[in-house]
Amino acid sequence: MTDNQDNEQVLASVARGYWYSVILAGWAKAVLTSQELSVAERLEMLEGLQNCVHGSLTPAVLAVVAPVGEAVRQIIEEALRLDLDANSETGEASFAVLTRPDVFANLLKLEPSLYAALQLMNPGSAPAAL
Amino acid sequence: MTTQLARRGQGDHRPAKRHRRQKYSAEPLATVPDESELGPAMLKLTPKQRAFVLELRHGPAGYGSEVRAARAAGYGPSTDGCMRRIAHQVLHNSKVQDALREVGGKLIRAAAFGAIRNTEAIANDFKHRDCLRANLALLDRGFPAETFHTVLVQKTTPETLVIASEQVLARIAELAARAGLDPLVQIEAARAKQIEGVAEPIAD
Repeated sequence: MTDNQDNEQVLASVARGYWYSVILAGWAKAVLTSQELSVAERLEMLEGLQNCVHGSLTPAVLAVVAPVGEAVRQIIEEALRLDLDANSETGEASFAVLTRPDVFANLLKLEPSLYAALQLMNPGSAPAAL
Repeated sequence: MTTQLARRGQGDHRPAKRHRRQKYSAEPLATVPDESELGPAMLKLTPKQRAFVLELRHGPAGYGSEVRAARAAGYGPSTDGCMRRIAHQVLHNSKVQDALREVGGKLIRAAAFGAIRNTEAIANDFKHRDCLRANLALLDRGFPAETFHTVLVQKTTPETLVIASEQVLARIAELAARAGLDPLVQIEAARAKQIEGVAEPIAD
């Protein structure tokens, strides 16, 4: 089986809702490590990260997700800004953009830890290079 | 045919004028129901337009159906050419088009039950070449593949003030460790943002 097929298999086996959760977890970690936050904001963000844990997104998977780099962070923040523009509280706009297969594939290339997290959610798949 | 032969017998060899047989009877097939049973688009029409829409719905489809519907709705009597023009004008009226969509939608929804029965019959006929396709169609509609995505929206006031007490710092450390972040870095960052100051009593 080729690498591409492996990647596709991993992506196909994980629901898109988890893609979004993993992206936001990486972004939240980046904010927590690089930005000056008040104690309340920091606590709220950490609690939010903890609330991401559900179903296949176990604490082990969450721990694998690394803080995203500056480029990915900017992409995510641009997408999140769409929700503000659309006055949407459910994150539909950012979800639609960030979980588009071509966009998500690029995010995985830029931030391999996201792919590692998805692989952990799908233990049957063999590790593959992106 | 006999007229043609008779004309030929009289030495008239001009080709006979072709008359297209009237395909459909202009007898009305539909009755316009009471206004209380009509939809908003139908209510905007004149009585003749309503009858035209319903005749189109109930009548035969194909060449000449619009002219038949116009005649049955009470337009005319007129020549064939005039009736075609009248039928064209009525059919392309925007209000009539809206009404056709309204009536057509109801027809499609009602026909859906028949379509389900037909699909079920094909699905149960193992010799039918579309048996698998019909089964898949039914399966897809009965048990569609679903993914659930829960979005939790939390609202907190930005003015919330949290003091970096030992309890709060312990909680930060615990959550950071669970999320795979360095707890010490998070505690240090929280301590650094703590508001420092000494409260002084104000003298009266």
